[in-house]
This record gives sequence, C-alpha cells and structure tokens, in this order.
Amino acid sequence: MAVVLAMTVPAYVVSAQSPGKHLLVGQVKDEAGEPLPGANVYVRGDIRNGTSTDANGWYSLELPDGKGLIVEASFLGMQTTSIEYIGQAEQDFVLKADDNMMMEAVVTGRQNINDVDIRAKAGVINVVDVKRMQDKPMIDMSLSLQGAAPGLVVTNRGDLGTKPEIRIRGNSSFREGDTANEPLYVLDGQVISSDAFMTLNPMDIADIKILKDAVACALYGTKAANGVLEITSVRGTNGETLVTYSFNGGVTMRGRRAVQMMDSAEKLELERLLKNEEAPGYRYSEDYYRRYFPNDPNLDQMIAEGAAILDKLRQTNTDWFKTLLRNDFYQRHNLSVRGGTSKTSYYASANYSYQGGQIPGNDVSRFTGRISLDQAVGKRGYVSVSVNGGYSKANSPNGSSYSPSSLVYELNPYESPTSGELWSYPDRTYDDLVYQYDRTSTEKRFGTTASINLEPVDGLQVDAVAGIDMVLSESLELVPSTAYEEINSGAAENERGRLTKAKNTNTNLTTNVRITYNKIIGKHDFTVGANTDYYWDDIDNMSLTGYGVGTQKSAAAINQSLEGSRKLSTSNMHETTAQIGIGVLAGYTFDETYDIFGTYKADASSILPKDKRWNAAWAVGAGWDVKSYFKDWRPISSLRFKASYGRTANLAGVSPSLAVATFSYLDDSYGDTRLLELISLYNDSLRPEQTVSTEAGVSFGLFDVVSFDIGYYNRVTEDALLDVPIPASNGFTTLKRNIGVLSNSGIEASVFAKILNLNDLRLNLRFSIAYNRNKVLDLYDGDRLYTGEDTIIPDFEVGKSYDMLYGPISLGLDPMTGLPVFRGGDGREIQADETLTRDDMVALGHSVPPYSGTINLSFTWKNLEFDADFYYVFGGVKQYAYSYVRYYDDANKNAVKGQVQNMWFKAGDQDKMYHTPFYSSSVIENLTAWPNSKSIGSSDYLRLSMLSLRYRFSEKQLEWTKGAVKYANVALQASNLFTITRYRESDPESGSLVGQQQPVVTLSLSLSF
Amino acid sequence: MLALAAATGCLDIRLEDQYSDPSAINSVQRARELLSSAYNSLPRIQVELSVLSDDFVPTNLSGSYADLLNLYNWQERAIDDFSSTVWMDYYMTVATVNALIPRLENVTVEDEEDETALSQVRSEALALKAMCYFDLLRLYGPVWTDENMDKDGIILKDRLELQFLPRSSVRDCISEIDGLLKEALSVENGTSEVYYLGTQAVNALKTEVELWKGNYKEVIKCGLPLLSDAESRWTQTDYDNLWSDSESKERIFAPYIFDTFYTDLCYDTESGDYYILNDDIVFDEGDMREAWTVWQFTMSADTDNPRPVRNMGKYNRLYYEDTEVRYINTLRYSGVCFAVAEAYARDNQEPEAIALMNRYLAARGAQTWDLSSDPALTGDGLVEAILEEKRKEFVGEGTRWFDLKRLDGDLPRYSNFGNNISSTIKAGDYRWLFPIPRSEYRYNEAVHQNPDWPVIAVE
Repeated sequence: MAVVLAMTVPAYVVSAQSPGKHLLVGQVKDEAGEPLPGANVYVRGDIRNGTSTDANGWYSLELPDGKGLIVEASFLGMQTTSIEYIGQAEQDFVLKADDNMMMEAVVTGRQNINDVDIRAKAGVINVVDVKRMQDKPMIDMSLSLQGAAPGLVVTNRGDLGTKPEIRIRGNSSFREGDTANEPLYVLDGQVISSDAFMTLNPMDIADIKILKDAVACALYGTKAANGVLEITSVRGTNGETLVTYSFNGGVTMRGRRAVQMMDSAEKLELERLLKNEEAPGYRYSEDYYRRYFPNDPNLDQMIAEGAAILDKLRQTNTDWFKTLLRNDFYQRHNLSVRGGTSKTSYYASANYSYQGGQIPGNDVSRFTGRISLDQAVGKRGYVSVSVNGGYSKANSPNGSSYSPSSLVYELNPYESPTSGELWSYPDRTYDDLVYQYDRTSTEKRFGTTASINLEPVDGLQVDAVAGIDMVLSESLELVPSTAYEEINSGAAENERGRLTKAKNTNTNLTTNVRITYNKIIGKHDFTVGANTDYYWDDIDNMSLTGYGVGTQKSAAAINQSLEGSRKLSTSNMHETTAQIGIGVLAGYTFDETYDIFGTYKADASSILPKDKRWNAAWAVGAGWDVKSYFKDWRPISSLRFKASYGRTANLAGVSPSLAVATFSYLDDSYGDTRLLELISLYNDSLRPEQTVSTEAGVSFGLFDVVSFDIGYYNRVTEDALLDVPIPASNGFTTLKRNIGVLSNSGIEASVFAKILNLNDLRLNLRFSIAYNRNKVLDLYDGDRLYTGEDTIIPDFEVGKSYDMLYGPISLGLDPMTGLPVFRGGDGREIQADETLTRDDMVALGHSVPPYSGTINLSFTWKNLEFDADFYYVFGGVKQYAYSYVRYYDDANKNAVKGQVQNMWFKAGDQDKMYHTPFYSSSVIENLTAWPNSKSIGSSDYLRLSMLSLRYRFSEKQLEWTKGAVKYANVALQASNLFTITRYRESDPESGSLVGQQQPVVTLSLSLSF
Repeated sequence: MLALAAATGCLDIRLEDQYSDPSAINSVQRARELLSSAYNSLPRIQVELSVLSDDFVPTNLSGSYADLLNLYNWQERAIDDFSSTVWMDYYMTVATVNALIPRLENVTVEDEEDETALSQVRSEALALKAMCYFDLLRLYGPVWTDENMDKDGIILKDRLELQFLPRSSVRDCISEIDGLLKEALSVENGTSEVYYLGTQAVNALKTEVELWKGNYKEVIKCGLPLLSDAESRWTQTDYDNLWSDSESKERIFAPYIFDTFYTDLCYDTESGDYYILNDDIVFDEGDMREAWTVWQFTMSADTDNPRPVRNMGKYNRLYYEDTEVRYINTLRYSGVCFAVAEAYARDNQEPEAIALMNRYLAARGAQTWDLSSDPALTGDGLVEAILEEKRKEFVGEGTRWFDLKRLDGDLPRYSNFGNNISSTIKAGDYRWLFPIPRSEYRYNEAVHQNPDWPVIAVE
C-alpha cells in the first residue's frame, strides 16, 4: 500500500484558476465529523498533483481538464478514499479508521495509549482547536485554553504569571481549591503536574483532548474523577526535513481602567466634606480654621494661606493609572525541525517567549526545548522516545501584604512621584511605596517519555509507555531593608531585609501497559483489552526565611547570627504517594451502527490505609449511529446518539494524615526535646468521594452545512468531603468528614456552520454554550452546614447551589440617617443597627457564572485568513469591593469619581449610592459583613479573546527564493483586545481591581525552509 | 486479585518526615517528643488572669487596648473571646495526651532504663491531663462546695476521636482528677528537668487540688514533705533566678518557652504600660520580693507630663529589658507553703500556720509574725494575712483570680491609676464561671451553657 506523507504544516495552494484548469475544493473529515488537518488530496497516479488540507481540513486542488480522473484523500491510520472527478466544484471526503494501515504508515502511533479507538465512540471528548490556541499571543498556556471547549472553564485569578483556575464541568467537591478539583493532565501518556502543563510550549502541541464523561475518563481510573486533559505532542514526519521559524512581537497594554478615579478638585472637595484633618482638603479648608481657631486674630490670614495651599494642590492632576502602569512588549521565537524517513522520524524545537505585565516588575519569560524520535521496529512495531524541558521565570512586585498595583486606586491626584511625603500614606514618600517587595519564581521542568507500540498478530496491539516528569519550582521573595515595612519594623539595621527562598520539587512517574485485541467477524466488531498502570508522585518542598539580607536577593546574605523572631527558619514537607491499577475493557459494534463499551478499573492507592486501599472506577456507554439507516439521504448528513454511566472514586486532595494518626516535627523545641505533633485529627471512617456520572448526547448534521452537538450530563458526588467544624473539646476545631452529596448537571451545546463556501471565500462560524448548575443534594448532618461559629449564612444548604451569594435585600439609604435599610424576611424594614438573622438573608445570585461559551469566526478569502474568538460568561454576580469609596477613616486616599455626588452627607440627601461616612461601630457588621442586593453586580462579560489576520504567501510569491522558503505567512494577532461588561468595578473575571488579563497586539512572521 | 493485593506492598510508603500509625510512636524518645508538644501547648494566660483579678489597675493608656480593657471590666464579650482560646488550648493539650497514652503500648522497650523512662512519660502525661482538667474545672465550673457537686463541670475526654460529650458533674470531674493524680504518683519520677511534671510537681499539684476541695488534712499531708528543705530553696539567688533563664531551686514546675512571653502589658517602652500594680500591694522594707515585683517607672518620661508609677516587674520588666524568658514559673515551693499554711489555719492548727509562715517570711526578708504583738493573726484574720502574703508573692502570675473565686469575695474594678473604684464584681456573679465557648456549643448539642451566659442561636 502506498505510503503517504502527512504534512501537518498548514499549506495552502494558490487558488487562481488558469485556463484549462479546474478547481476542486472541499473538506476532509473523519467518521466523527472532525476535520482532518494535514490529510493529502491528490490525483491517483500523479502524486505531485496534490495538496494537503489546512488546519480545518479544507483543501483546494487544481485539476487538469479532463473527466474520469480519480481523486484520492488519505490520512495516516485511515483508509484512503477515492472519488471520480466528473467536473464537480466541491467534494468532501470522510475517511474511516484503518488499523491495518497503521503498521506501514510508521511515523507516529498513539502516544496516549489510553486513547483506544472504541473509547471515542461512546465517550464525550472535545478536541481543542490547537491552531486557534497557538494564534493567541499569550504566554500562559492555561489561559489560552479559555473557551477552547464547552465545559472547560478557565478563570484568571491575578496578575501575569498567576496560575489560573481550570475546571471541567465545575467543582466536583465541597472542598474548594485546585487539589480537590483540578483535572488530570496527561502528556503523551505520561501524567504531568498542572505546573508543568502551564509551562508547555503551545507550538509543540499537536492535539489536546478534553475528556469529560465517565466513559472517556474511566481508563485513567480514580485519578480522573475531575476530567482529563490529554495532550499529544508534535512528532516527526517521514518526509523532507522542514525547518520552521516563527516570530511574534508586539505590545502588551495597560488594559481597562477598573474605575475612574477623582481629579484633584473633586478629591479636595470630598475631603472637606469628610472632615478628616489627615486630608489636606479639610486640613486647609476654611471650615477647619473656623472650627478650631474661631477666635484667632490671624483667622483671615490662616484661611487665605490655606486656600493658597489648596489652589496649588489643585494644579497637580496625576493620572496614577498611567503613571504606575505601563505598556510593555511581548515576543515569541519558535524554531522547529521535523522530518525523517519511513523508518525513522524526528522533531526538535526550541522556544523563547516573554510577556511584560501591567505593572513594572511583573513579567514572565520562558524557554522550552523538545526532541522526539520515532523508530520503526521490524514490520510490526515502533518505539518512540521524547525528551522535553523548560525554564520559566515570573517576576512580580505584588506581595500578599503589599501590592503596588493597588496604589493606582489609592494615591491622590494632587500627589506625584516627586511630591515628597504623601497625604495618602502619612510619613511615606512615593519611593517608600514602590520597590517594597520583589518575588521571582522559576519553574524548571524536565520530562522524558518512552513508548512502544507493537502488533504481533493482526488485531492484537500491545502498547506500553513509561515516563517521568519533574518540575522544580523555586521562588525567591525579598522585602529589602530599604522597604518602609523593614525600616519601621524596629529591627536593628543589620537585621533588616527579609528573604524567603522556597524549592518545591514535584516528580511524577507513570507506567502503563495496555493490550487490546480487535476482531471483526462480518458485521460484528469486537474489542477487548486490559491494562495495568502505576503512578508515583513525589512532592518535596523546602523553604527558608531569614533576615538581615539588606537589599541582596540571595539566601547567602541571610544573617544567621540573629535570634528571636528574626531567627533563620526552615520548613520541609515531603510526601510520596503511589497508585497501582488494573483495568479491563470490552467493546462491541454491530454493523457500524450500534456500539456498546464498558470499562472497569481497580486502583490501589498508598494514600489510604490497607483495608480501604482498593477503589474502583467503572463506566458503560452505548452509541447508535442512525445515519447508517439512510446513508444516501442528503438533508441529514449525520445523526448519532450516545449515552453513558459511570462511577469513580476520587482521592484528589486526600492525604494520608487524614485517615490515620500522623505525626510530624515542629521547628520549635521544648527544653532540649523536639516537638512531635499530631498533624490533624484523623478520621478513621473516612471514605473516598464517589463521583457518579450520567451522560446523554446527540450530534447531527444538516446538508453537511450545519452540525449540532448537544449533550446533557449529571455528575453526582457522593460522600463529599469537607473540613467541618467540630466541638473544640476534641482538641481540634475541624475534621475532614464525608458530609453529603452534591451534583453538577448541565447542558453543553455547539453549532458549527459553514455559512459561506465558495471557491475563494469561506466563512465558518462556531457557537458553543455550556450551562452548569450545581446543587447540594444531601447533607448527612441536617439541612444546613455552617463552617464558622458566628455565621448566620449557611455555607451549604440542601437544595441550594453551593456557590450562592447570600445577603439581605437593601431598600436603599434612609434619607434621614444615610444608612442602608434592609427588608427583613417578614417584610418589615430593618435599620442598619439592628441585628440581621438567618431569615433576612436571601440568595443574591451565583458567584460562579453558570453559563459560558464561545463564538469562533473563521473567514478566508484567497490567501487571507481572518479568525476571531469571543468568550463570554453570564448568569453570575460579584460583590463590589467598594474599596475606592472613602469614608472618614480613609479620607486621605483617592476615591472614585462622582463620590461627592453619590454619597449621603446630610439629612435629606435622596437617592444616594454610598452610605454616610459618619457611622458608629454598631452598624459595621451590616455594612461590611455581607453583600446586599445593592452592593452586587452582574459579572456577565463578553471578551474578544483572539483576533488573527493572516496572509499566506503562495508558492508563486515565494518563487524568488528559489525554493529556499517553502511556506511563509505574516499575521496580525491580538488577544483580549476588549471586554464588554455591565460590571461597574474592576475586572468581572478576577473580581479584583488589579490583575485583569491584559490586551496584547502582535505581528507574527512564520517561515518554513 | 490476590496476587495484586500482595503486590500492593509497594504502596506501604513510609513518609520521610511524618510518622503514621501503627508504628508512629515506637520509641521512648518519640513518646517523649509527643508529650513535649502537649506541654508546649499549655495555654499561657498569666496576663489575662491577672488583669481579671485585683493585681492591677488601669492607666491612661488602657483605652488604646480595647480588648484587654474590656477584659479588665469583665465585659461579657471579652470574657467570651478569652474563654474560647482557653478552652481550645487546654483541650488541645488533653487531645495530645489522649493521642499519646494508648500508643505507649506499642513502644519498644529495650532495657530497664527504657522501661523507667516510659513509665515516667506515662506518669507525666496523666499529671498533665489532671492539670488541664483542674484548671478547666476551676475556670468553667462552680466552686467545689457540697451543693455544687452535681452541677456541670467540664467535658472529660478519654479518647482521641470525634465525640459530642456532655459536661460531667463536678463530682465526677474531681474524682477523675484524683484518679489521674493517683496513677501519676504510682511512678517515682525524680526528673531533673523543671519543665517536666516529676513526682514533686505532681505532689504540689495535688496539694492545690486538695486545697480546692477543702481537704485540709490532705493538703498538709501532701504538701508538708515538700517543704522540708524549703529554706535552701528560698535564697536570694533562687528568687532572682526565677526571672531569668538560670536554674532556680524555688521552681517545681515551669514550662519551657522559646517564644516571647508577657508582652501584652506594655504599650511602648517610652510611654509605659496599660496596667500597673495595685497600690494595695506593699512590701516591708528589706523584703526581697519588692525589687522584682515593683518596678519604679516614669511613664512618658520625655514629655511634658511625666508620671512616676509602680510598674509590674517580673516578666514584664524582662520584656522591657529585652531579656528572653525561658521558664514560666507555674508551681513553686512558696505556693505549696501558702497552701499548707492556709490549711493549718483552717484546720485549727494556727501556731503551725504562723510558724510555717515565719519560715517563709524570714527567708524573704519580710517582717515575721507574732500573735502577741498582732492579735488579728487568728481565725479569719490569719487566713486573710496568709492570702495577702500569697498575693504579694504571686502578683501578676495569674494565681490570684483562682483564690478570689475560691474564697467567694467581691472584686473591685478601678478607674485609671486606681483613683477610685468604678464598679464591683460581686461574689457569686455569673461571670466567675467562664462561658462555654461557641466553638463548643454550636457543634455539640449535649453541652449546656453556664447560668446567665447567652447562647447565640443561629436561626
């Protein structure tokens, strides 16, 4: 059988029609309807007269005049399909999988050996459009996945370099945080940590699959209860060596102003009204002098002098947004080499990227390298080896107690970097506020994977993979001796300057051996398989904090002679866990119409004590391809139903000390004896959470123009774990217990439409939406659970969503007192100084938006490609922080524009937004402890997350290079250009004034030699 | 499957820096280390208890530390907040002891030395638990009169596991404490470390417990042997060394600390303290206690309004002088002396009481007592005089509040600098029993709040 090249570098053939030539266009897809990029389309017997499909599976082929030509489409691992050319302008191809073909196709086999073919039929798997991801000029691999698949929700949490939150179909646990809810990351069959994933080079990735339901995930066993991201790397080809260099360079921008702040005139007027003498607007006002020096003979002179000072202040109007934040630059250099023969192929790449953040001192840079080699072994197998490594570095001036970004909203417009001692920060100058803190975190990643794929007899496949992935995360934090905090710490000069150095090593080891046997007897297609895998995970953390380093960012500068609170301290944590598993699977397909699939996996984990060690994950799924009944009826181009059910134990976020008594040493000692401490109260009846998933979906296509995909899921987590409060007489105040049942259910839908499909002009649109609803189904100890002693709002309540924001209904401000009035549960009015009860609290909205989705637009005209991605979320609310609204105590910091107009100052002020600045402590709780119906806003937003305009040079245009340049394209690319939202404050995504995703605009050039 | 189950031996991963059951506590050394963390978690509430008693009066600075001032004024909320950390810390110590005791069975003992060391660990653990219960019962329970015996005492925890236990009666609590002390005393533990509860310390503790029971004969029987060589412990050097990191023979039990201690009294080293000594506390000339107790200080010395005052000395002075504290003197020989003297006085052995007190007073350089020249030194007058000396000895060390509660007296609250009495906490006031904290009753329906304390309902 013919060996066909698979060129996955997007190539585009000139589509200008010349006389005597005809153009044939169309798309090459697999049976599931997914486009096949890099498939070859050519005239039989004349392989030079051929082309390959682009990233969306499209091709355009020039044919010589003449009927009766046979056009073939081929793709690795697929049966070659041919049609007769009878003058049609358009022809699509659907290629079927061909297992026999694989042996000879060499090049690459299945790296992710759990990606068995039968799994794809019943499971819910989304394939990420890697090309669009690569088009986003963003350094953060995880953030660039935002919107990549319905149900995969990526949320930015802070400034550049901060790890975003990644969830597949919401939190599966009551426990918040990444350890309990993060998906599993698998690169070429090897488990990697989320930190390692973040630093991958997007250009090295050929394919990312999002595994969502039980059938898709069950092969990974109990590790996969939160879903899986299965990543396949780019491999070599068996063709000519192709060297590709691409460059992206551009600017990163300040982004959106979170809130507009006051100018000097308004600020000084506000200060006068707030009557705090710490602020110049009052201190130098006539009001002040008349109040404190009413009988002073020099009163008039004092007033005049004060007015002069205020006039002078009014002259200055510093825009701190522009002064403190900056535009910076973005660049990415990527060089790759790929090629090989029918026996051996290789791929190597090197990448350097840099992105500057909004605030000086915040940036991320990264180097990565990757080499992979695939070698055929005999006629029935091949081995693959790959090595990859990376170094990334993030700098940030924002610390936990101190953030220069927030100064944008604190410094007064009448102050400037050179104005000496600041009113907003008494006793400090501008220089005492910047360069206060500095953190560098680096990640060094190393991974190697080896796999072997054999087919000793027809239909029997033996696959094995082994690999190790290591991430060394280091951070270095410095509060220099020149920082205000240190100068005023009371420490002697040689004790100043704090340095924290931390090293965390996370090592993942994976081995997985899988045997699959497939046999086709007539219309019956059987598959059985078994595997055994072993995962080993080692986390080794150590950190030290010392003082006396001065301004030197080095642990060597720590003064080790210090005693007391500035003594050098260290901490260590080392935890090794392992899991061994055995799994079986079976699948059956009848007449390519009905298929059923089942899998069972038992995993034993070192996390739990011996008697609870074994836990299971199993799933069954079925599919029905209705289209096979009316294969030739064009209006319905595809129709397929599928459903699945599965059950998985979840050990994420469970550590050995939770189930058995575990002791560890403290830093301190008692006399000359070390302190051995019980880490936590253990729960010997602890059971792993059980995730039960039910799934049903349908996909259909109309006239090959529009295709729909709709799925419903319900994932119930039983025996959900949470740290719950317990009576203090137990010696501990919390205990991790199995407390209840929760569910995530939802609908995911996408529509793909080929709106225009002309020779030179194509317009495709994809629209997707995901809806997730979570609910507490049961709590084992009563209907409500409070995790705080004083809370009147339950943290969880049966029948309610667990991301609900609770608070009272506000009836606005009482025009007489200037304080909010609430509506009680019984309908009566409640004044601000009364104590609210549980009955007065209502659900104000979801803190996690239940709806999210994307709109992807692709437009091509001749050699020009235009792509745009919009990402949207809606249905959620966020509480306004109102941290920029100033009251008496913080009158010396800048305030939001319009506050003078919108604040209640005196009895009779009507319809004001902000309550009185003068209030007693008896109302504080009602003012600050909860959001209310008026202090929240919808967090809906629509973001233009990617924009790309690309021009591909045709072969003709590159002729002058005499073949030196094979492909070339230039592009204008941008990410996060704008966000439309009704949220009045800051960023609706992160909810903080600082740390929004910044816009980046770049120019890119890609050349292949 | 069976073969696989065997193969999972590779999953018995030993944690490098953590010790898990079943072999977590497998050596005497490790048992001792766990016990040490129990010692280390004993609450350090000397400042708060002194503020609650009549040791101190406020100053013009007291208002700047609202929480402590509210505590001084016995405000419900402040006592409630304080109570919740006290309850938590004592029960944490109890939990650690409960973690230790059953695990002592698995400790491998190689020789007789190990055997002895192990029995000492066990004895100390029991004594430590008794000490926690004794403090908790005095703080949260009523005084130990016959009519109070069936009232709610404290929660008795025997196991390290989640339990929702009711409070036991005062009677049961006392018998639990007695049982623990008896068992602790069954082992001879002549430890050389003053921060461990050796036999001497357990006897001193027992003396205190018997005094609370009003079991005076037992106080004398238990306490007197400890005082046989008391004079050699009451020297000037030993007294001075109490407030240093040097050895003092006056200490019986003094938990060891590395942290700072007694930092809450000082506003800043220029302006002065939030609280100063009560003017009631006066010493005879030549009384060696005065130099360490009364610390003459001028508040705001550099300003226009300097004010000479009598600051609290002892640990507070060490804080000013930036000297590290290593020992928190918790049980002292002079404490045993006061217990025995009070027991003598109440047990109609007044001459013995005076004789014992004179041994002590002479050693301290104070005026000794003579019934013929001071006829008040009999009956209640004698008891009062003993308690007055006890107050002088222990001012600022947190013992006074317990005596005030036990003896059922009124407690005056003073205005700034003790100029006048602003209010009086009456004997029998509900606040003499600390409130059961929310962290307990919110999650434990079996527990009842003390009388008159609010239960914050959440519905």
